[in-house]
Amino acid sequence: MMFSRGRNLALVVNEHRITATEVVVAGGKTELRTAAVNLTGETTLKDPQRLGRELKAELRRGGLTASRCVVGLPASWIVCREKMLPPADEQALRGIVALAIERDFASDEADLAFDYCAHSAATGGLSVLVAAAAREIITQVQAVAAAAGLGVSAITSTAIALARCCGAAGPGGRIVLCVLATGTEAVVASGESLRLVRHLSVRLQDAASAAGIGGELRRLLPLLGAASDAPRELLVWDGTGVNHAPLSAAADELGLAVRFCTIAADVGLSGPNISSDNALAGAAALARANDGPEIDFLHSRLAEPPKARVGLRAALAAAVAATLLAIGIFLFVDWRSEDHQVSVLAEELKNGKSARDEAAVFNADVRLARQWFDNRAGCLGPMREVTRAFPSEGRIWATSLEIREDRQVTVTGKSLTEAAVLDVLDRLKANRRLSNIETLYVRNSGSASPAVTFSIKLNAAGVD
Amino acid sequence: MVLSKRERVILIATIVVAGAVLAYWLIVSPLLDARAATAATKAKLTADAAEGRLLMAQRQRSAAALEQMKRSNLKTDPAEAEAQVLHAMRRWAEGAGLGRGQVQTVRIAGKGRFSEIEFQTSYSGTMRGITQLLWQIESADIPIRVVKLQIASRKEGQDDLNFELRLSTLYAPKGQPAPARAGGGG
Repeated sequence: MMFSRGRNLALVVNEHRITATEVVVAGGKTELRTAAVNLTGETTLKDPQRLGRELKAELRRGGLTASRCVVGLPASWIVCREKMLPPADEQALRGIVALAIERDFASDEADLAFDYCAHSAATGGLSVLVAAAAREIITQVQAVAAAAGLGVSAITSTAIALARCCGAAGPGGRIVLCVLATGTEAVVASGESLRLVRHLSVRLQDAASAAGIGGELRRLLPLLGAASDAPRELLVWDGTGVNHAPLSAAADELGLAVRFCTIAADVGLSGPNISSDNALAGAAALARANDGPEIDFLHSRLAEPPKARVGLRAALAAAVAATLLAIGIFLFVDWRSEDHQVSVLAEELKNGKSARDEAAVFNADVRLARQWFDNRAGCLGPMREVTRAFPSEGRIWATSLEIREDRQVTVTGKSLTEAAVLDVLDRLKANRRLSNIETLYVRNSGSASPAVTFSIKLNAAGVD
Repeated sequence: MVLSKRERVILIATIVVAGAVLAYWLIVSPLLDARAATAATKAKLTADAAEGRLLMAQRQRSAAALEQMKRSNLKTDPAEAEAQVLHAMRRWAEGAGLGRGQVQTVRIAGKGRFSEIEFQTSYSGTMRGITQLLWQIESADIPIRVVKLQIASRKEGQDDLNFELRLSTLYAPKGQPAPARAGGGG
């Protein structure tokens, strides 16, 4: 876990003070800023508004400008229980842990805030650490942060955050000892699992108290079960600068390999302007954990995950309905738009009607007038076509010809034989430019001769 | 009332189908009908507008044609129009060897913004003379046209014919509205 880019703010809260530490990561540089408020006199968690205001002032004075923070509580304010549970899914585990809490804790969720973390144990089940903190403290801490103008991302244990900075424990487990000015806290971890978080009543100030620590650790070991599960490593966060020799001696006595942690090596916080004082290690570890600490009383895993307000089917139905509605709206809007265009067009046509009517009459008049100029229906063409149908030898001849303006032609004549009339008739019918060829009459001329008179009517509209 | 899952599904499906049918009947179908009616009206109006634009363009061409007619001896005075035809007929008939014949004005009638004068003429002559006269009429630069033509032989077997022509000329009386320049379409 690394520091996030930007500002990472942590508040370490204990009985005596609130220490604020902001780790600013920007432009490849890391900067550490700190501020603190002592809880004395009337400035306590009991008066969160006042404490918040003072904290706000200190933050401003120290140049800490982050708007959200992670809060770390001391182990003395937290009660932890380890539970070995069979493998279970998240939901079942939540139920099991809730039942275990009901059995193990006298107070309910109104008085205590709970959370848990679960990891696979070497035995195949789940190693679950249930943590509880007083609801009143959680509320007070939130109120202080709010009064200081801060949002709270998580409320967790400072010791757990420090233990997590040291990476996963080996198979034998380890004890992480946080030696602070206000007291000593121990976290026991095995592999990924956290097994115990405990405030030790002894303060590490001199060789005598180091021996006291040894006694406290010796009393812890039986709580961890079989000898095979006993921790084999002791990691010490020394925030007070005591002599390490008595601690090393106590660890040797318990058969624990000791290592003293540093803010640079374990938290990964180093730089030219960064203090190597381990007193800030807790806050730095919290700042590093601001994207999701192991235990978070603010976002408890015991809380039922919020159910989706809308199910998949409902969402699909809503999507279909929305699509249909969108189509409907589009159709309606498009229709209204077309309707508007129709109205505009109708208005234009209405306004231009008189001009169009006048133009139509004018065009018709001019078209009519052109029949006296270039569109004349001539008579020579029909005369030519009729003449071509008559033979040149004189067996048949026309006595009269009438051509009307509609190109109706009437030919009246005489013939020596009726056959000649029929020949003329055939020739006229063979001419495609003539139509409606009709024999009005063919009759004898009245004498004994076979001569006949005839009259033929035809239309010569197709003749040029 | 407790419904089983199957009953609940059937109930929801029924409600959805009924709702869809109802929505189609009350909203979609009338909307589609209205859209179709609007589209049809728009198509008709668009066609009318296009026709109107065509008409106005045609009017411009007609106005130009009328100007051309006026330059081609389209008279405004009926007496001038009548005299123009009488002179032309006399000239053409004599040129075709048909003599002076008879020419008589028979009718004056209105034709829209124009007026028409009809003449009844009769000539005697040969087919050649008749065709010459007809050619003159058909290729004349004055407004004249043949309404009716009658040719009859006077003596059978000879090229001696009676020739009656009903002619018409056109004039544009004064006081008729001047051909306005075409305006916008639509």
